[in-house]
Formats: sequence, C-alpha cells, structure tokens
Amino acid sequence: MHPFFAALYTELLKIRARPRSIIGFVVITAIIVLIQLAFYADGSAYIGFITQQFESSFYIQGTVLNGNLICFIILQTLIIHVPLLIALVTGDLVSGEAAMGTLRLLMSKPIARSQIIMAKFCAGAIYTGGLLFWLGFLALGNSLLLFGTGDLIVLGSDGFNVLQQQDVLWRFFAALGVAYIALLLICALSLLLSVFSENSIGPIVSTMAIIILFTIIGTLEVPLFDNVRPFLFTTHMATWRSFFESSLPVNQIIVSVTVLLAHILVLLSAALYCFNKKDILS
Amino acid sequence: MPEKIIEVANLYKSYNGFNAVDGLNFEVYKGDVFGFLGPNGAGKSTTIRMLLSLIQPTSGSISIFGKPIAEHRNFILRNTGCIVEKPDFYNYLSGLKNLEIVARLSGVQPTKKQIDELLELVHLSGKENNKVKTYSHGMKQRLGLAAVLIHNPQLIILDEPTTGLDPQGIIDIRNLILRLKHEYQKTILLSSHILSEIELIANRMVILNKGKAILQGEVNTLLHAEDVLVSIKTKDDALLHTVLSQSEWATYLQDNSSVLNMPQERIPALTTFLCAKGMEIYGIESKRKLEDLFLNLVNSPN
Amino acid sequence: MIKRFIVALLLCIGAEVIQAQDASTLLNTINQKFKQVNNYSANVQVTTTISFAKIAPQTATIYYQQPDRIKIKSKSIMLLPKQGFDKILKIIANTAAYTVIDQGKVELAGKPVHLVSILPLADTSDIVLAKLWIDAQKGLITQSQTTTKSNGTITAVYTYGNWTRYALPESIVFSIDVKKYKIPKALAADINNYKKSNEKASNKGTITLQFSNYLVNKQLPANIFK
Repeated sequence: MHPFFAALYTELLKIRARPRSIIGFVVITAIIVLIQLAFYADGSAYIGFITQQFESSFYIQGTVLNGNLICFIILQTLIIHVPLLIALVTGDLVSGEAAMGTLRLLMSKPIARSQIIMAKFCAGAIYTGGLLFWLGFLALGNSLLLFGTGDLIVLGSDGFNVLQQQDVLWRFFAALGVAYIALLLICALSLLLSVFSENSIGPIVSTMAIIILFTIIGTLEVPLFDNVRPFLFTTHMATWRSFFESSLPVNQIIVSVTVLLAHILVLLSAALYCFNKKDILS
Repeated sequence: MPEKIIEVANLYKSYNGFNAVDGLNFEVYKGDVFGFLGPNGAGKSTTIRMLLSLIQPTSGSISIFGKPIAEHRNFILRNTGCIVEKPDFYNYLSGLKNLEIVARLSGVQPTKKQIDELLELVHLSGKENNKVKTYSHGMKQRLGLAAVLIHNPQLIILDEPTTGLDPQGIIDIRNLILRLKHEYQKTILLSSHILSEIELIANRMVILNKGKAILQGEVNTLLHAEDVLVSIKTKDDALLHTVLSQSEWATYLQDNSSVLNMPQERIPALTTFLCAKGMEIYGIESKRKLEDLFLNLVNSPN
Repeated sequence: MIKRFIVALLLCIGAEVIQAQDASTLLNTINQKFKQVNNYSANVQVTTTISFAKIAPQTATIYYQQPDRIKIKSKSIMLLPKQGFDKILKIIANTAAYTVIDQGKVELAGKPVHLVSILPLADTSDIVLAKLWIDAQKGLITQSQTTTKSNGTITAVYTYGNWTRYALPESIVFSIDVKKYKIPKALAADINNYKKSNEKASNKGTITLQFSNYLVNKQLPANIFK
C-alpha cells in the first residue's frame, strides 16, 4: 500500500475509534430530530407568526410548512454550529497525537511529513463529508418524509421569496457542496492550529475564537469594517445561502468559492510548511 | 572493520543559544549493542530524535546505513525500529490494532502467524485484544518492543527502555534485547542513565555529558582495564594513612586521603600488608574509576 | 318659499331614486349573467408583484360552485388577495343589504363607464364602501374598489374575453396596499445581509390572475370543496 494511503487508512481508523468523532453525529441527529418534532407538533404557530405580517391583505395558498422549509430552517440553524463539531475532531489531529505521545511513533515511520499532513487533512475532509452527508440526509430526507414536499419559502427580515418545488432539490445539493468547501476551510484552519499545539483544546478553542471574531467583524455594521468584510472567510462561509436567492448570484458564488479555496490552499500550505519544519519534542 | 550502521559527526543542536548537543561524534557498527549513557539532560534523547529525524540538527551530519538521513529519511526509517522516551500508543485501541497501525505505517502487512509469534516473544499473547489503556507500564513497554520489531528492522533504537519498570520487568526487557542481538543479529542503540544496565547489555558505549561525548569505546576496555579506587574502613584512619604513606603503597595514595588508586589484582597483596601491620580492617571497598566518574556526572548539580 | 324648497327636495329625491334604479338594474344585469353559472372551473396563472415577496408566476385551477363555494387548487405557494372576485359578486347578489348610489357616468382609461357606490346598511358589515365601474353597454364590471374594516382598500381591474355572457373575466389585476413587512432577524435567513438594498420598497402590490380554459356548468370533481 502506498504510504499516503496507509497513513489515510490509519487516520480514518483512529477517527472512527475515537469517542469524540461520534459527538458530531449524535449532536446533529439530536438537534435535527428535535427541530423536526417541534415543527411536527407546533409548526403552524411558527408559520402563523410569519404570515400574520401580511394576513390583513393576503392569504397564502399552498403548503408553506413542508419538508423543504424544515430542511432549510435546519440548515440555517445548524450549519453555523457544524464548524465546532468539525474542529473538535480536526483540531485534535496533530495536537491530540502530540498530547498522547503517539506523534513520535507516527513521525518515526517511513512516511513523509507532507503525506502525513495530507492524510490527516483528507481524513478530516472525509469525516466532514460524512457529517455533512448525515446532516443533509436527516435534514432533507427525514423532513420530506415527515412533512412532504412543496415550494420553499425563504424568509428574509424584510421580505421573502418562494422557490418552486422542482427548483429546490438541486439548490440543497449545491448549497451543501459550497458548505462543504467552507467546512474544509475549518478543517485546514484547525489542522494548522493543531500543528502548533500539544493539547487538543487549544486548536479547537482558537478555531472557534477566530470564527466568532470574524463573524462579529462581518456582522457589525460599522463603516470601518466595510473594506475588511469581503476578505473575511466567514463572510464567504455563508455563501451556501446564496443558492436560495430567486435569481442566482453566480458571480458572487464564484468569488466566494474562489476565496474559500484560496484560503484552504494557503492554510494547508502553511500547515505543511510548519509541520515539515517542526521539531517533534512531545 | 565491521560495517558502520550509524555515523554521527560534529552534531549540534541549539535551543536559544544553548547547545543541547554540542559537537557530538560517535559510530555504531553492525551487530553492536551500543550503550548511549549519560545523566538526565545530557542530550541522549535529543540525539536519538535527530537520528530519527524527529528534530532537525542545527549542524553536523548523521548517516545511517551509509546514507545521510536528510536525503534518505524514509529508507532509513523503513529499516529502523525505535522507542523514543516511552512507548505511547493509541489508548482507545487494542494492542493488536495498534500493532496493525504501526505495521501499515511501516509499510508491511504481517501475517497473523507473524503477529502471534511477536506477541509470544514479548509475552503479550492473550492480551492483544485488550485496549492499551488497560495495559500496565511494563506491558506497554513490551508492546513497544513488538511495535519496534513488527517490520523486522536492521537497526533498533531504544531510549531508556527500562525506565519505570519493576525489577522483573527490567530483567525481561534486558533478556529480550540480548535475544535480539544474539538470535536476530540486530544492531541496537540503547540509551540509559544507568551504567550497570549498559555494562550488562552493551558491547560498545559512549558517555555523554552536557551534549558532549566525554568517553567512548569498548565496554570491556572502559570498565575493566582501568585501576580501581580502593577505600579501607579501619578503627583509626590517621594510623592507616601513616602506615600507607610510609610503605610501598604510598605511590597509589590519592591526595591526602586514604583512598588508593591501584590495579584491582593487587588488592589481596594490600590486605596481606595491612594485616601484617596489625591493622584492624572492617572493610575494603573497590570502585571502578569509570563508575566514580559517572556517579560524579550524575550527582553534579549542573 | 317652503313650497319651492319641497319641490326642489322632491325633485332631488326623485332623481336619486331614478339613478339608484339605474344602478340596481346594471347590477342586476351583471348578477343575472353570473347566475347562469352554476359552477365553473378554470386554469389561472397568478403573477405577483409585491416589494417584499419574490414569487415566480404560478398556475392553479380554480373551482366555483354557486352561491359561494370557491376552491383554488395548486401545489405551489402563492399569495392571493383576501378579498377576491367573489366578494363583489356576493354584494351584487344581495343588493338588499346595501345602499346603492349611482354616481353617474365617469371616464375610466378613456372609456365612459358608470360609477356605482355601495354602502352597507348594517353597522356590523366588514365592508365600509364598495365602488364599481361598470361598462353599462356590455353589462360588465371593469373596475372595483372595496374598502373593508379589516383589510384596507383593494382595487381590481377586470378584462374580458370569450366569457362575457357569464360575466367571467379573462384577467383581474388586484392592487393592494402593502404594509411594511418585518420579521425578527432570528427567524430570517438574511442572505447577503451585508449588502444593503437601495431599492425603495413600493407600498402598492399587484396580483394578476389570468384565467383560461373556463369550463362552465360542467361536472366538478367530486369532493373538490372538502
């Protein structure tokens, strides 16, 4: 077996065996099922709250509370929290080994350091893919099963748009695809931070701190931040939602995906460079 | 001349101006059990980590199997097995799974028979499916040796393999190392801060202090061909000193003490002389000069 | 002096009565036309232009059964005006409950029409005022405006095609006062929220219903109103 695949195989084996890897799946399952149950029991109240805004002049014809809406609400609620679940695993990939002492074991094997880092990144990417697939499967599959299909009403704070049922599914897949790229960035970021640390808490907390800081800067409507905002990766991490605009902002999506990919490339290169230079002292 | 397996020349490793390894030179030959002796902080682990390219030397060269490590890292590591400091494993996996991981990373896929033989060799048969977190320190150490051997390396590097073991554990590891030398013809580099341990296992050694090699060569030559330091316990130390300083033994006396620096084979003649002089002797203690030197190194505050 | 005043008053009342009778006749003509319709079904395309809602044109099937059963069937989500076409027809069918005032001939979009105002007799009625612009020649409503206590004012403009004998329109364009729409940020998915829109939100919304394939007085699918 090629050394890279040997390393990838063992990384996946380790991720599968670690209890913390299951946390993500448990949390996602719990939240999704909870949201679905809540809407199943009392979804009309939520819809009523929205429709009362224009009830005086209009009534809504059609099933607003459908699987597509529930899936969108779930993604909306959950995707911002997924980076934490990802970082929980990927922030531990190098630092966890350093803390456990197994980094010495790993690094004294005939596999190039770059291959080890790439194997760790790929294992993290596969884990992220698995988590996102599970999220998508539960959020969409289960919601459609429970609530049926229908047009998707996408709410904004000062307006909404309605996407036709046959126009929705591909948007979910595309959105999950872009969300996956955004989460790969989290993988690369936490992996880079993981290279510098000898405990797993540091990279996980640092990853979250960076996301929170950038999100705050991105959300605060202060003119000073206007010029910074387009360069923050967190701004582009929310691009998955652009797929739910009635007219697709193709250029903006391309820019965001490019920015995200560029970030991944830079972070991964930095991780490779630093790890290759790193003295294993743990 | 036997084949050189490890050749270290002018090796330095500095941390913020402090030389952890300070111009180290040594050679390990095929079939050696090479003792790497030194007190804690002498630079043993740092050197071993450089041998395994875990850390980069500040300067100097390391060649293993005749190839420089910087360019042939993977080839060298494919033929090297090691335990650095203590054997750490993935605690949440079984011993067997850990061995499988190590084998895969080492580029081999051993058969079940080979793994069973290895487990037998390190006395872990029947325990391989238990999670490593349930293992005792001795079991981890033995699993470490199994992991070292799983890809049948030519060179084995063991960094203080008996640290923290009980007396029986120490004996088991020592016997295992000797079997590896004699039955499997492995070349072994063994670091320790215990002279007697090296004396029992190694055929060649280097003594390190403050990153420098202060003595190296054949263990037999270094430990047995030297004069010994003899100290005598009597009722009257002043009388003993007078008797000795007025006799032929005066040339062996160290400074103003009653300690003699003399060939070991002359101790019986000395006791006969003292008895003839009517001295009441409570005990004679002989200490090898090297041991004394090493104890001084270990006990020195710096 | 008093005599002259009474004569003048009688003349006025007489004129009102005559005009009201004209208006009632007009409404009755329309009602008679529509009464021929026991039921109908039609395809309808709904086009929405409202500042806060982006909805692509949708199609639906509309089913009607005298006197007041109406059903719109569609898989799509669409916004429809609360006071639809049927409200006007209900008023026309029951003029006894309203005061009908003929406001004479006026011009609407360059065409002469009859303007009729309708006021409810009962205080409890939701309707405050209804105005109908009627093409007296064809006996068709060309525009209506209803003001209700609960829903504000809605204007509807009607165009007709092949179904004038039943007074069934080919299209209706509803103009509705739109209140500002705001929901809490926590519920909203503000896509690209950093991009502020410069468009000034209009406070008028229009919903256009385009009817086709009328099937009048044919058997409606069973249980369609359930």
